[in-house]
Amino acid sequence: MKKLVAIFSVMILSWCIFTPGTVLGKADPKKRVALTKDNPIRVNMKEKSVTVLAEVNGKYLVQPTRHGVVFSGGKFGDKSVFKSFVSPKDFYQGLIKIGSKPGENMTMENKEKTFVQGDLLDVTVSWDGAGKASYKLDEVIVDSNKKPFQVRFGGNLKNALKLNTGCLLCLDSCPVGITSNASYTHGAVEKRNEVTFKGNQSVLPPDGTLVVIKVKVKK
Amino acid sequence: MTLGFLLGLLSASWVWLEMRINTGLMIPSVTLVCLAIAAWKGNIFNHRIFLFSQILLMIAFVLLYGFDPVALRVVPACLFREGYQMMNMPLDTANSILVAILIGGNAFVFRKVAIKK
Repeated sequence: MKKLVAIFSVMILSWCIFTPGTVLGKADPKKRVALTKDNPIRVNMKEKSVTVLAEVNGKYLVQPTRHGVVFSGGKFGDKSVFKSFVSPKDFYQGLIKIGSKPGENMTMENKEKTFVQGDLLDVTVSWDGAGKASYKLDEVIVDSNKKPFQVRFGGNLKNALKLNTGCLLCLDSCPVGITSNASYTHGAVEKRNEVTFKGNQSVLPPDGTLVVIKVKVKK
Repeated sequence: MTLGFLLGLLSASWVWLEMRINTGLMIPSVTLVCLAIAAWKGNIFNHRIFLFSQILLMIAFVLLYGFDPVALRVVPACLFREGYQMMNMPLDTANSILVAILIGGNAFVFRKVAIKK
């Protein structure tokens, strides 16, 4: 028994050594990004872009998820790589305002056999202290198949409001998310295990860091 | 609590379930159930169960995440803050609380064993 206790003490101490000053700790509060939690969205008509404020969820840098960006007030607010402070309705209206066209082709019935349509979008992510001005979505979220993201403006506002999942960007085609990835049909992640998605821990900043996600219509 | 972590870890590794429920809730739920059973049976601090559940937890963690130090820093802390509905708690704080509970719990249980002997 004494030996077991000794072994456990060593294991606990090892954990203690690892834990203080974690890499994925709290974000530096002194740094700031242009948007705030009270003013988390900006629609730029000149640039034809919608920019939203979000924060990194460290959990999905090590665990797989099918949610890219979700509103913190939605049911799935804690299930995405990026937890946003913008509601699906505001995000949808922003995309409409810049002249983007929604696909509106996804339903609960056809979701597993249909790829989302709508305008193709360019999604970039930036944050204070990032290595470069902005990163493409492909750089910050890792697709296990290395397929490039094809984020499209699906629309789906009616379902989004009805189900209140909070989804702004799903990682496979989705009848609820305002935008989603046309590279896969619904169920690719959860049902058929075709792919896994994780935040890129070698690129993304620590858990809780504020990031700015810019969505533009691809020309 | 350790058993709760074990169940939380296992359920979080099933993506379908992880995307639908708060897997961290396993921690307070199992803790409550174990406390209720222990109070009913009258033997709250069985050190063998305590030790066994910790060994199982470590094995499960290594099997699921390997020896990834980032996973070690992130996963238990995230499960803890989700389970206790404290989503804005920094991971550092959650990790500090967990380490305190782990050391305190082990010290308490094994001190009792040592005193009995």
